[in-house]
Amino acid sequence: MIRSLRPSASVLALPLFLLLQGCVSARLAQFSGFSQAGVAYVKASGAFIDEAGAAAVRGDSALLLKARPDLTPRDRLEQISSKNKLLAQRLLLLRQIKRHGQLLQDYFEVLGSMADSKAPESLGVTAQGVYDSLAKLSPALKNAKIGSSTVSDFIPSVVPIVVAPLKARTLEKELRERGPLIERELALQEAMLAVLAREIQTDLTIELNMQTTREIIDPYVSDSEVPSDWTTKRDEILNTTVTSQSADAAAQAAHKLRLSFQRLAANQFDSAALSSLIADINSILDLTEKIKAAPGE
Amino acid sequence: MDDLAGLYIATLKLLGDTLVTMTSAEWDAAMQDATVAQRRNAALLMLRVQEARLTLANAALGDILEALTANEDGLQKGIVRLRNSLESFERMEKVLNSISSVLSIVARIVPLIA
Repeated sequence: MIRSLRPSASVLALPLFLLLQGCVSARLAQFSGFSQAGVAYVKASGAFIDEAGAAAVRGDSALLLKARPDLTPRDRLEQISSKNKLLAQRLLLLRQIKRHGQLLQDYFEVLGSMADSKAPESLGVTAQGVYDSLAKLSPALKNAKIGSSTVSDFIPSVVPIVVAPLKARTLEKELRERGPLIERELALQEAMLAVLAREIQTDLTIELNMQTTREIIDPYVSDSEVPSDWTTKRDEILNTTVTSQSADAAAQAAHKLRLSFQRLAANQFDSAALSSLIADINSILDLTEKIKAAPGE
Repeated sequence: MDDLAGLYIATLKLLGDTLVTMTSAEWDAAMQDATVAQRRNAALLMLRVQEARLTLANAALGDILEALTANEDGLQKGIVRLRNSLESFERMEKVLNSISSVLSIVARIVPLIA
């Protein structure tokens, strides 16, 4: 029995201590979860941006080729020159937006490193080692209790309580100071993906329209036999039509990331919200893969 | 920015829908009886709509990029500050590792041994 600690103080101190440590751990876990989602978002949106650029070039090429038979050579020169210039601007803008995304990713990564609760565990292990050595010298220490817990139970949680709350406080301060900027950043990301989603939808639909005419309608309407892969092609093209209409999923994921940030600020970003957000962000990757796999020319 | 983005997107949708119509099988069918001049005019109209669409989307993305770039100083400050804090915590943890963890155990042992 530890004579120097009054039973009432020890009974009160340990549960309160454990409760406070639990709150700190939960808060750090929120920051850690959000930072993981943020990093995943930047990577997924980067892939989507690449596809938006590729789809813009393909869509424009499809229009130029469609118009070509009805244009004079002078018309053709004017049109391809102006479109090349505009597409070069587009691709430059997209590269610059991606470059900015890398900075955002860096921010999320360092936020995640700060919220990482793994570091203090090594200190707990060392403290346990010291205790075990001392316990061999003193049977009284080995059997000693603080409240209803043994001293040994108490050790690993002593060290994190020093560092974790300080980290949590630093993160809360960062949230207060940088919160409006991050909110603005995420709103801009949402706007950017909304514009790109709109453009990808149009570019893919243009491409599909022309492919449908060339590979499905014209062969079917003509008196010749349809090609042997006509049914497969039709199936592929119709499924890609569905993909072009779901490009909005990317912008919706960005919107959800923004809402999640607001929940983080309000200390309400739980594991269920994180799982839902990660699923939405993964849908950007799924969509990008489908766009890449769409039947080409 | 939200209102402006909304306006950009609404106009882009209008232009995009026009192009989708002009590349549809129904449009092709309607153009089959057109004269050479009419077909040339239709082709040029389609490419002008495409030009307007590319120009508008570039303007929207340019505005967004400008606003994102304005955020970069703040993001960079956040990164530097958090990295500095992280380094301070790592140093603190090393000190705790070597001193405080032992002291906290000793503080509990002394009353037992006394």
